[in-house]
Amino acid sequence: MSKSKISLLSACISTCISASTLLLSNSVAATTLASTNATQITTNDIELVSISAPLHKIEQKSLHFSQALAKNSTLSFAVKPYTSISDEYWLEVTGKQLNSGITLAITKPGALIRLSGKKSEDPTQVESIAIDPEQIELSQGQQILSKAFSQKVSQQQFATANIFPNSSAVELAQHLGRGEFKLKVNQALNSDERYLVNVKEKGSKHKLTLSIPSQTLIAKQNIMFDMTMSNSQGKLTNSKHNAHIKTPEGETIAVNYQEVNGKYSIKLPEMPANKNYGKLYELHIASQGNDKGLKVNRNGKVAFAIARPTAKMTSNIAVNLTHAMIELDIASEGRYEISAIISGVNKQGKEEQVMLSRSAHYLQPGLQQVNLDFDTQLLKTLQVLPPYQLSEMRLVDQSRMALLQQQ
Amino acid sequence: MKKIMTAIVLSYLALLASASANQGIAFIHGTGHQSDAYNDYWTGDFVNSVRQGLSNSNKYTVINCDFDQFMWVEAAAGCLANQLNSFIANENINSLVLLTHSNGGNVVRWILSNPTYDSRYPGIINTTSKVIAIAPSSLGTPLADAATQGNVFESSLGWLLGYNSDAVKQQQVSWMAYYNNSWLSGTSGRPTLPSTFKVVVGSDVDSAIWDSDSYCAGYQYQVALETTQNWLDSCSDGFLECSSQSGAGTVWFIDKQKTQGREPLSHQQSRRDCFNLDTIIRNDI
Repeated sequence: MSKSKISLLSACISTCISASTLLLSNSVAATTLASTNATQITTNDIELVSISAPLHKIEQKSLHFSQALAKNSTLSFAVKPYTSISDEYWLEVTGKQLNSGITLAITKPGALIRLSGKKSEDPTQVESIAIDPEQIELSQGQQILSKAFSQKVSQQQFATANIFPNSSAVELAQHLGRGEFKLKVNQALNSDERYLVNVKEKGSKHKLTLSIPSQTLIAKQNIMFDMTMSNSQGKLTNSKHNAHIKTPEGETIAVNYQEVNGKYSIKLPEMPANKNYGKLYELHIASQGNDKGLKVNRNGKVAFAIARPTAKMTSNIAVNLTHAMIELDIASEGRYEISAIISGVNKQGKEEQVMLSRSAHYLQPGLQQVNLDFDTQLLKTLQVLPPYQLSEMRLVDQSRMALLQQQ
Repeated sequence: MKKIMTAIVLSYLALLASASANQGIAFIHGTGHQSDAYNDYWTGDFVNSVRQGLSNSNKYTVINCDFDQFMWVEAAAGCLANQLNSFIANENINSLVLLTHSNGGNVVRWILSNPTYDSRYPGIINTTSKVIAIAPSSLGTPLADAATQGNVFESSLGWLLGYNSDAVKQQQVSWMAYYNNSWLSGTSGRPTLPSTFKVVVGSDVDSAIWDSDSYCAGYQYQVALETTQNWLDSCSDGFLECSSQSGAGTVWFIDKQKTQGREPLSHQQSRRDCFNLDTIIRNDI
């Protein structure tokens, strides 16, 4: 009998990427025997949370599903880093500001500027007027630029394809080059109307690179990330960054980041429970840099999930010819799926991963023994014999769309 | 002689299989809350052409669901599951082809990837012979990110056939990366989908005013789609980058490889009878 390890979201062992990421262990295969046998799984102490069952409709029946794995498949459920690269920025302005003129930093000739008017959901609020691109004026210093735009896209053109309603856009003429420009709207706008100004500099050498080691985090821990403003030669020094978290409900929470050895971290603040299961949080970064006198603005964001540990696999698994029996410690009522890759002994006498099996059950709080059923007919077709072994085990809270545990 | 005999036997077996299969096709729309997708999303010309590829051309259904929602919610995947199961039961379908466009591919992938989530899913999975996914937004699109820029603007900015929708949020690039890595099958390194998921990729937008090809499915759309390419890389259909469209399953063909006149298919054109797309699909089912 060999020991295997399964790490939980909140546990950290030698292979973990950061304190806040979904963790993996190196060894996972459960020992299996032809007859029922027990397999030890070492788990760290986990503080589970008890929360009420979600209100939305949740399947109550136990369901099992197995599928054959493709030959020589390179399946991995390991957490993956995510990187976002931005060549654009955006800001919010009022109609009054647009009528007076706003300053925009341009780093790439031919940049596209999109102006989108806010349409309030509040019927008492005045709706913003779509801006006529013919009424947009561009100047540099004191000089109004003629032939400033190579393309103008009207609200009607956007709206006919239902893209960016209440929006218009202008593309700067290439000959204008880079630098600071003043954009002014000559069309009379209501002072308090709000507009989004989006400067898109496709292909700009000035970029904000934002990356996180995992998109699955746990509550109250640190989110680790990297952020770099760069040009084609490398990192821009002395860049400034502002960060905020956007919750699934749309609330914005300003956060402070800390830098240690070139890496950044933010301690996740107390946030209201995610009422919208499956909906994600976002880390937003607004950066300002300077490249030899040229101002560079960039915005970037990455999405992530915050799991709440509502259940865990305990240390015992029994595997037999038709199923594995797994003990779950359930703290919150809900629907949970366990899954694993099943290996058997092939004709050459070697262990071979052949099947992905999944079972889901609706469970009440407490210690629960649940089956992970195998498709025995499929195993026969796949021509493998016992002993069967489990790897890549996962526990998922389907009712809250949270990945809780994986090998 | 042996080869001829083998060919005859294989043909006979194919005929037998064809005779025993009761094939049907479901047209599954993209983002938007549809109540008449036959007319408003696909058009009758497209649907009626494609379904001629069935041995019984009446075995088809056009799905109408609320795909402004996240793919997993009842109004989206639940609605789709109900309509597919009704179609399977009422028409005794045992070989189902799912024809999806855009975000419809994600909703289908949700069902195929999560067989234990809902008891309505396994029957669909077991009956589905293949998915033909036209321009699926498998890896999301930067346009969805652009449409949700600025916190206070979420309620104002729209989307193709939908405004302020959760489906737009879902199709942001980093959101789809999370869903693909945690909840969906079919992308690199993830479990394969239980059914073939073959993709038609739209690779360009042709908006030259003098080119009659720009007018298939409406010229005004083409102008808007060409502008949106500022947010996309050089290979895109105006809404989705080719890399997103080919991010799950296997690429069947990139538009110009099979379309009439080697014309590209914009995101609007790939759900209409433009450049023989309908005939190509008809001949495949």
